[in-house]
Amino acid sequence: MFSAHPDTRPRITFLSCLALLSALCLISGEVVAEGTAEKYPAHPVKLIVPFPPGGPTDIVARPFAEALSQSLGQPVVIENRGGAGGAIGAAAVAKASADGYTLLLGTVGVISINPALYPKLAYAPERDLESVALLAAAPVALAAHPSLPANTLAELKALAASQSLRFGSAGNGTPGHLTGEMFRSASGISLAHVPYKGSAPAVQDLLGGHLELVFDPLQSVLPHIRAGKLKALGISSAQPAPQLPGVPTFIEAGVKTETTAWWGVFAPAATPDAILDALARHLARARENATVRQLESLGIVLLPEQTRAAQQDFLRAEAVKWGKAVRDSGAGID
Amino acid sequence: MELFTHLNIGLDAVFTLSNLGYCFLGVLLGTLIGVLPGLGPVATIAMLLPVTYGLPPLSALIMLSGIYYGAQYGGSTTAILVNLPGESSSVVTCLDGYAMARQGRAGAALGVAALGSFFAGTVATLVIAAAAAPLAELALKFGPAEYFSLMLLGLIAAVVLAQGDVFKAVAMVVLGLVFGLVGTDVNSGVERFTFGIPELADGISFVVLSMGIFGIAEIIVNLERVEHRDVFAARVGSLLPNREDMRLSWKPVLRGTALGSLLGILPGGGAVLSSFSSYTLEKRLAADPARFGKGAIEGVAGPEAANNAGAQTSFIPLLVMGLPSNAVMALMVGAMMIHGIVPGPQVMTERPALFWGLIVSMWIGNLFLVLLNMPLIGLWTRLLKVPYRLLYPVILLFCCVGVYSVNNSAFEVGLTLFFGVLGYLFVKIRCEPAPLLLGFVLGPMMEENLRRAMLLARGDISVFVTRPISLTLLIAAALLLCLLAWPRARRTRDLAFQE
Repeated sequence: MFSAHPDTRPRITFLSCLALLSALCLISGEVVAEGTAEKYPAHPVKLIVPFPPGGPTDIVARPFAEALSQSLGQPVVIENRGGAGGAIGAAAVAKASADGYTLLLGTVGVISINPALYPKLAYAPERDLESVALLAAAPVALAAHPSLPANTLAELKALAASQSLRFGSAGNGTPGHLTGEMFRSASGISLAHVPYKGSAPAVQDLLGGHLELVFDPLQSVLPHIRAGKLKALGISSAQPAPQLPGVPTFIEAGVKTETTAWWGVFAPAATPDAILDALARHLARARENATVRQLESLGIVLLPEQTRAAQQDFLRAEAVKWGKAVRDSGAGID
Repeated sequence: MELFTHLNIGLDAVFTLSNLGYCFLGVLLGTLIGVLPGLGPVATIAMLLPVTYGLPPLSALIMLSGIYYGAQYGGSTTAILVNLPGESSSVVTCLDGYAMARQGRAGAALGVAALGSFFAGTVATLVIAAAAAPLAELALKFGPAEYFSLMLLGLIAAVVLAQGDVFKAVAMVVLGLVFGLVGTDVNSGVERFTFGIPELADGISFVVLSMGIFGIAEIIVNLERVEHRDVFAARVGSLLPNREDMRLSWKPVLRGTALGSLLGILPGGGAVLSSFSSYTLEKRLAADPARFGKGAIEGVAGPEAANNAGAQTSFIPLLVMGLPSNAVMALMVGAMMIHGIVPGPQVMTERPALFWGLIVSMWIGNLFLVLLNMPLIGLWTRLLKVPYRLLYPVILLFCCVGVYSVNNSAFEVGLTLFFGVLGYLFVKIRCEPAPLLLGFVLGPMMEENLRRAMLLARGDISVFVTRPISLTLLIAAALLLCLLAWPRARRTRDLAFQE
């Protein structure tokens, strides 16, 4: 459902008819037409986080869920359904009834990487899910042990010519791993990939000096960079990170790799536009919440409100970019 | 003394009525969910996180960590009374704790568990306060090669010290390894033995396996011999450990505390690993190892001290480096971040009141726990007098709720039942499940670290003997193997088997 709707008027008319029909047919009497959309939500909303509690996605989800609860006037309950790289939770939302009461906290992995990574995915993001709002993004940082005799990407390239270098990631097919693969082919720097089970063990081995480099979203390495236990050689976003003054983007340093790990709220594909719009409005308000704002101190960037058409353009580009990275890296799983 | 200045900062921060209240609330909740089989601290803390948004950060962290170590306390209660591991780290307590309960010594077992845990908690808190930073540095020295050697040592110990038939013990370890293989391979991303079921892509959870093999199997066995169960329910015995119990227990508690404090720092189930190691160590050192599994109080005292110490020191990587060593610690990271505290090395210097306050609260929490639990022992043991036909449906219900709450997955509830039937089969063919659990826990970690060490060393196998920590662990493993081959040790093993 990432197709653009340049003219939305016929759709609203169609929806109004549909809503009229629903109003007649449904015992619950939930009216979802334009103008009456304020009736939504009439009961608590479930936000499925397709990863275990405490992980980076959960950390983004919780302040937003709290702020959204306040804005909606109905509790937004987080349900952690981890497993299979987020596929289990995403599939559950894809199959849920499209009434705006079951939402997904989607990630770059769940929406843009998994379809290329797993041939037998139980959901197709483009077909089954509709984006409500893109919430936040984090650049992937290239972090190094302080003892590494290279402080810039140019020095890294020179070093790689004389010494074999290894980079750790949070696992196969994670944004960190794939960014590392894109970086490797764009820069021509030879790096061996060492996958870990999540960010923490990879960062731990980097701190202990058991490997030279780690590609991982900024928030997992930022505190160690601040404490001087790690150093950042570059970041993957288009803009430099305000939390890391003086650290260049890959593009600034001459390596044509640009990625972010991002999070957004998704709904089952058939969810009425009126509900999607209402949710997007409330999520825009949630961005102003103080607790949500605190995410920025972790190295996460809050994204501005975008039209659904703009989101769909972005998601299409992401699917192409990450899909190519998966195929090039051979990370695809048969 | 710097340590006292620090502890003083912490005391100042904690000694407010509200912080003490949250501490008590945390350990009370923790005890409750620990007692309820399967309901674990992960699900509870996740559910309570939103409640803590409005609290000051220190109060929130005090309460949440109280839930965690409180659960370690409570978990042993269920293990001793009904042979159900309330927490994954109390699996070992089932072995001798439940045997003690069957002999009418449930009170003594519970008392030793509580006192041993309190002692271990106190020492571990001091360890954190005095040596958190150097210990964290030590943990960093453990690379993949060291982990592999440590796991190898653990696996060999599991076989050498298992009861009875070596062949059966090896078979159970191997079966455990096979169950551990299920899931996605870390290195290649290939799914193994998942049969295309997405719920198996992340492997079989420890909770599911241990709850099935110990808990559900025990219920089936009990239903088979109702009359037997009634006999032992009639006798609860004295509520407190006697002088002889104390004499047997104090050394295991000391050793368990030391083991737990060390292993707790390592990521990946420090508390589980430390209770297993303590059990094997005690069995090795005992004058009469045959008593183990038949109600040896050392087999309760050591592991209980170890798992509590391990639970406590698993805060070290989090507090000092911001690295979570298990799922609960990952949640604590989440809780800290929600309050705008970025866990990492800077917390200690930038927020000293928070850092030292949390540490001091752990000791106070442990004190609350022992004050709370000693009087409760009487109440818990009376639970044994509830007729089993009333008790087991409740236990089954809580098992299902608990397993479901881990991942919100109905599939895992079904899988628990499968392991229940398997566990029943093991009882019937007299196979001990403990080696299976060790194989299940250690096997995948061993494989992961072996292959990672090889990747890092570019296939150079000498990495395991050129790194001093790894070499030491391998030598210890080799010594244990010699022990297995050594005739005298074999004879005692065989003797033990005949008994």
